[in-house]
Amino acid sequence: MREIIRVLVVESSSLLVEGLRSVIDKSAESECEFSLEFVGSIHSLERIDEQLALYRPTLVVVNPSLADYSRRMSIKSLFGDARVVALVSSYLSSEVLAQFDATIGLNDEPQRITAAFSSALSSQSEVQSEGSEGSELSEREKEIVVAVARGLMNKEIASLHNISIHTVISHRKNISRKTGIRSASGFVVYALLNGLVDEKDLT
Amino acid sequence: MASNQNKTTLLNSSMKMADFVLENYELLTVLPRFGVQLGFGEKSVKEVCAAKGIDSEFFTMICNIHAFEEYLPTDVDIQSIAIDDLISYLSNSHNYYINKRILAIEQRMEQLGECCSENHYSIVRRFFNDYKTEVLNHFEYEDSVVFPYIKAVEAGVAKSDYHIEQYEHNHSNIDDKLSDLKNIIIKYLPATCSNDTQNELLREIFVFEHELMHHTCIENKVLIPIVQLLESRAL
Repeated sequence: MREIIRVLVVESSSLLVEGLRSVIDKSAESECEFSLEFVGSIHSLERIDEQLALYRPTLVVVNPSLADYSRRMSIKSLFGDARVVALVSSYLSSEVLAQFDATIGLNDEPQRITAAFSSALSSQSEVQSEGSEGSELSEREKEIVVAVARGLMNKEIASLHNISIHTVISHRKNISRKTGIRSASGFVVYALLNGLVDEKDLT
Repeated sequence: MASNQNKTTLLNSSMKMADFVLENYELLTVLPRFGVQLGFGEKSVKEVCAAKGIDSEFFTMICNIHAFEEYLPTDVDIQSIAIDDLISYLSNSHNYYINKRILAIEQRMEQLGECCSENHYSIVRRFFNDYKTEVLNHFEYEDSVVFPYIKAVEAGVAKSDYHIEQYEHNHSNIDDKLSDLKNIIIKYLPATCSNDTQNELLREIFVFEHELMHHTCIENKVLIPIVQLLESRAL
């Protein structure tokens, strides 16, 4: 017997509620590790405590735009122990979205929606590390920048620093992610402006 | 006219030409590429186009691509396009980019040279010059190799040693460098200039990048499908 997941939808648009209901109903036919059950929908956050007592959801899908700005940052806490998935229909800050166990969007396919439910149910509310991690280049990354700026190929950089080509490529990806610079000649400019190489060193 | 409603309504050729531009000021830069000048009074798009000998449906399609990020013409739309119209639009766009957009970036760049350290300026300037050379070569290649090839395919006299696939995905390097230039100016060029100087330069780069995005979209979603269709007929 698969675990039954009681889903409550908090959304003001009847169209969206019906759409989600249909996705949830159809998911019963698929090979999910759990069984989704649509237990009801409410159109606003009014008297939310009473509604929760009535529906006893395991998982809540809520449109964060229903909360005014002052409450948006703590909207997840309204739902107690239930897992909470954000239904995103307008622009929201990443800080607001960070509190949720998962997010779904208006253009998501049904599989993507059930996958988001699944990840919300299994999540340990891990904090996304992107952005909070240091974004200055490491010493090794600076060495790679210099090597690329000097015109070395990935293979040559790998043997120069005694690392695999795979590692070189992953360093280059990280450098591009941190600096936003992708072209080899952009690396040259970066290296020169940051004093990592001297004009004379470049051929 | 309800202007907010029009943001979700595609442009069509029965609308007033003036409303096209009033609703989407970006189209101001599209009009000259068709040889259309302002001062159209209350005339509809159809009327203005007819007077200029322009296919008004093609004109409207191009305007929609520029005005709506998510708009894509349908296969049926595409098949009714005259290939000569499309090529002449793309070719005029090249001239517009070279004579207006790139020139504007270059002029803003020179103002940067007046307040930057000589060393920093020469590093950034060299990067831009290399980028410019690459873009000009790319346009030149399209004008002198790709477009004549397409006209030859249409006329049924193309040589078989070239295919339009060879030309696809040719833009990414150029896009990367323009984006790099933004990052360099925003993040890595020491702030010795006034904000205005750097902002005006950045604004020109953003505008050009945006225009190129539409240009690439027209090439990938309109030009290439048409040519592939022509090539398959020629087989």
